[in-house]
Amino acid sequence: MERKKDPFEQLAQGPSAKFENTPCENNENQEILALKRLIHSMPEKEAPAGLTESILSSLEPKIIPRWLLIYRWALRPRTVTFQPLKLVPAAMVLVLGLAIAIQFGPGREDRGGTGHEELIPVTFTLSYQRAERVSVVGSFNQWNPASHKMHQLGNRNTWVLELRLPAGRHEYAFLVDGKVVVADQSSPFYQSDGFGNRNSVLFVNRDEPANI
Amino acid sequence: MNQQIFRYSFTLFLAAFLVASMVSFSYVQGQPADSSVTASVRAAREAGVPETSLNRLLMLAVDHRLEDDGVVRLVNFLQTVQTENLPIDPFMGKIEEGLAKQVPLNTIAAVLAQKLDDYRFVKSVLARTKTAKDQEISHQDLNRMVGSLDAGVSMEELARFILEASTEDLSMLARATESMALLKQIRFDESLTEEILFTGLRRNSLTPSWDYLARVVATAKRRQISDDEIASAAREALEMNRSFADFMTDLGFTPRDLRHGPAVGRSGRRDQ
Amino acid sequence: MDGNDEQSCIDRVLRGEVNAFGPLVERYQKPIFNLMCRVAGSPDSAADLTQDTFIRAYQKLERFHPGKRFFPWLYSIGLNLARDFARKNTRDLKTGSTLDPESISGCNYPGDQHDSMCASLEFVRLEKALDELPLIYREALILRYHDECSMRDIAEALSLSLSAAKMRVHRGLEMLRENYKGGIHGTQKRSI
Repeated sequence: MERKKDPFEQLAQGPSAKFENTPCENNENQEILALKRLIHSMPEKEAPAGLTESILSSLEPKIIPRWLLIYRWALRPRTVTFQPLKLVPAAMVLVLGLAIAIQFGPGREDRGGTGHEELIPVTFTLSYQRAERVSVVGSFNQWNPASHKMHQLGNRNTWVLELRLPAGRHEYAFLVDGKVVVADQSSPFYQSDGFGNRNSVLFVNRDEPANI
Repeated sequence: MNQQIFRYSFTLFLAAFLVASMVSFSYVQGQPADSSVTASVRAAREAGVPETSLNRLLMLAVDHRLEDDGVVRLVNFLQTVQTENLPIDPFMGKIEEGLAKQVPLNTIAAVLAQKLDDYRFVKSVLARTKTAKDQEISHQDLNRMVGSLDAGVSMEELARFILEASTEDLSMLARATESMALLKQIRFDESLTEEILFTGLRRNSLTPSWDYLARVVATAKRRQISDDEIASAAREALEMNRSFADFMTDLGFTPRDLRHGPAVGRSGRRDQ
Repeated sequence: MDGNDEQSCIDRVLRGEVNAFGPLVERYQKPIFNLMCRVAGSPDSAADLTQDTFIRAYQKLERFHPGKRFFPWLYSIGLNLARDFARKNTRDLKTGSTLDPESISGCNYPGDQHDSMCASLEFVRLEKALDELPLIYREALILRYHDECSMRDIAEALSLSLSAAKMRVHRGLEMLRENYKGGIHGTQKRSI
């Protein structure tokens, strides 16, 4: 009785596909390669006819404040072309300007004259069941949930993130799935956020004996 | 000639350009739709609200799709803060925090108003002391004093502490109020707290390294060191103008503790 | 239509031109509709969800960051709607498939159609194996190997970090291989 050919073998023997020669995939086994090919050529359904018209007919014209349009215009990336020869004097002017700003600019006293702020590694950990995403929000990232997203560990209930923070006192909280505010149970210090939750308080000090 | 192409965003130039553009557009085209935002931004700018703060606020307005009247309300609030010569950053931070936590704008506005009252209260208490009459308190020190109210100290407790403290140094006073709040959170004996802090203020020895007092006390308590022992070591160090490191040594902290310091949350060394 | 054309459409929409949204719908309705088919099963529900995705994107369009790619942003909106739908509806509602295994296995086909039917059977197995993956792993694989998206775009579409997106693709492939093997062995057993 003839052995039934393994579907993986059949697929892997198909016409060469774009997935074959990528550097990280050279050592992949035939099965994975076959699956990639199969996904690539998987058939798709056509969207129902008239969907575009149906969508457009349900939309109202947008009325956007002019300041928002200007803001968006300003945010847009642009392409700047310049010649290297012109770059040298421009760079010199920039360096000179920066030097003047550092020497005479505001905030010089705040830096204590060092002009250099040491960042110290801090690891945040949260145990939380059934979370889709968790961020650390705090005074060090202007409470922006997008800026410091935590990573899920193998057991899926533990979220971690290592950050490098300047010395001092920082207020923070964990934001689960964009809406649930959770204080850090491992921190003994806290501060009311005024909105009905607690923020945790973290003290980071420099790794220098002279400062203690 | 070789040419190089760079892509960049104009974000950094946003503030100046945005404000200038809004002003010019309102003059040239007389747009009624955004005149209120334009006018409030212009007024805030003229009142001295920093461009960076206005920038941050307008960016938030875009990210969170705030209505024009909401933007105007917040800009006007910042203008009030600026006019009263209070620090803008804590209020700006509270707006960012509230929006990040999806708090309704009305609630954010109420919390901002409460915070403004807290600042006014602390300033009014300071005005009753001999020390503060002669000097202007820095924003940083004011923030720390107001922060103690959010950390569990009542207005009465704070006022009494400030009025009873005998110090010329407002930074030390701010450090003491913050420490008072934090020590209260870890249930350190309140009368011992006052003894320690008043000693430091009287002897002018509550230097910046004592910012970490509550951290060290929390660790010491976890090591079963009694409040009396901790207070005794702290009082002695402050009375004799000894260093914070000496205080830690007295509590039995190892050289390793001294080298690395009491940094909460440090990778692999959390709350040793 | 390239990124500049898309940005131009978005600018026109924000200036009040509803019809400028049309080219964006035309271009991306197929992948979004297929995403919804995988989640909802029924073509009617998928069409409704597709429509909701575009309407939601239209409503939030001023929040779309200029200079970024539109498709990952749109896909992330679609995925959120798909997740909500999946939460509200049990997965056994899903009945539809791009290819129906019963309609293939129950018929005799002439020899010249044999190869194409074998291929169809592979797709049926693949769909079943994909269907058993968690949503985010399945979509990571489809975005990567079917829609040929970059890892950066996948990360944005799935609201993940770049490293997390790479991990989803890698792990998804491993899980798919296991599911696919299981499907093959199951079929063979049944045929005996």
